[in-house]
Amino acid sequence: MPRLVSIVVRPASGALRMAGSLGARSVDRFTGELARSGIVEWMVERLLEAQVAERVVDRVLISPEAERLVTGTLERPELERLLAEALESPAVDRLVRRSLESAGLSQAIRSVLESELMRATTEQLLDSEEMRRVLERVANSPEVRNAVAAQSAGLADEVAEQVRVRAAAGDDAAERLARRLLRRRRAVPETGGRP
Amino acid sequence: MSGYAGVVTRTVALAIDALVLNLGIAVATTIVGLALSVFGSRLTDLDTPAVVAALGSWAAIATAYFAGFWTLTGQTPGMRALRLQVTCADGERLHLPRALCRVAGMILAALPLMAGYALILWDARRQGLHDKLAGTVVRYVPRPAISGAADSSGASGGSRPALRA
Repeated sequence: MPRLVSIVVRPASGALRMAGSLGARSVDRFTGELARSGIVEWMVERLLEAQVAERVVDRVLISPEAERLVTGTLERPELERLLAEALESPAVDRLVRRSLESAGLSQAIRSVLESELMRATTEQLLDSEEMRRVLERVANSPEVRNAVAAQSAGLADEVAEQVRVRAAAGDDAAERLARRLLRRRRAVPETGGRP
Repeated sequence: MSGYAGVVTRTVALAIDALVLNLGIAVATTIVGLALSVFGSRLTDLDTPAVVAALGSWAAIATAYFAGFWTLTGQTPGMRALRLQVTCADGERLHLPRALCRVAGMILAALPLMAGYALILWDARRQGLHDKLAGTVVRYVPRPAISGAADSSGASGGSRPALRA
């Protein structure tokens, strides 16, 4: 810990001294001097050598404050609003559309679909017990059975209706022919009418 | 246009019934033949009384088929497929004696080279000899109403017979 303090404090005090010597003449000049002096590079190098950054990150990540910070941030309505606005913005729509239309994405999807992994996964899925159960469930479902039955009944009905219509037309044609042969007038039916 | 079924429709219905009937008898005969083969008998080795008995059985089954369906529903399967119904001339459902009489009439109508059926072509109510003998008519059955619409055949006197429950 004392080493850490010395790493941070020494360059900072040097920078402050330099800033003090420069006074308030110009912030630009100060930053220029700071960059030229190499203090920043020196500080970064020392911090990296001492693996300070890793330790700091570790400590921050395991601290309950970090968790509270993340949770609090995620639960804030502003974040939700920001996300909603971002998702609804035309820019996101454009971005998504451009991504979908890009040749790179098509190529990537094609590569995945043609890959050995995909083939093996599909094979495994088709051979799986779960898939067999799903197919069995779907095939035995009342909806599928009703649909198949309705289709079969529909075809049978259609054929039967056509036979009825043609047979009824045949009835009249046969009668006309018979009457023409015997030169008899059509008899008027007492009751009834074709449905 | 008549509400009574004509010769073509009735012939198609009869053909369907003949198919159903003979298919059923063929299956039954096959089963009997297989059963007999277990005991060493063959259907081709039948003597005259056995053949007469088989023909008699066929006639009895056919009579039962037609008379049964006409009595119970007024429709054989073939007539149902063609949407036909046989009733008494007054619209009542057939009873067994009348149905049996109609079956006998069908045989009689067929004997003079089907001339008994040719009557259907000229008769006002499209009755064949068997219909005249039994006092029956065969009508087209209207398609079942979907939206409660009135019977479309009303102008010519209505076609659906009023059957007893």
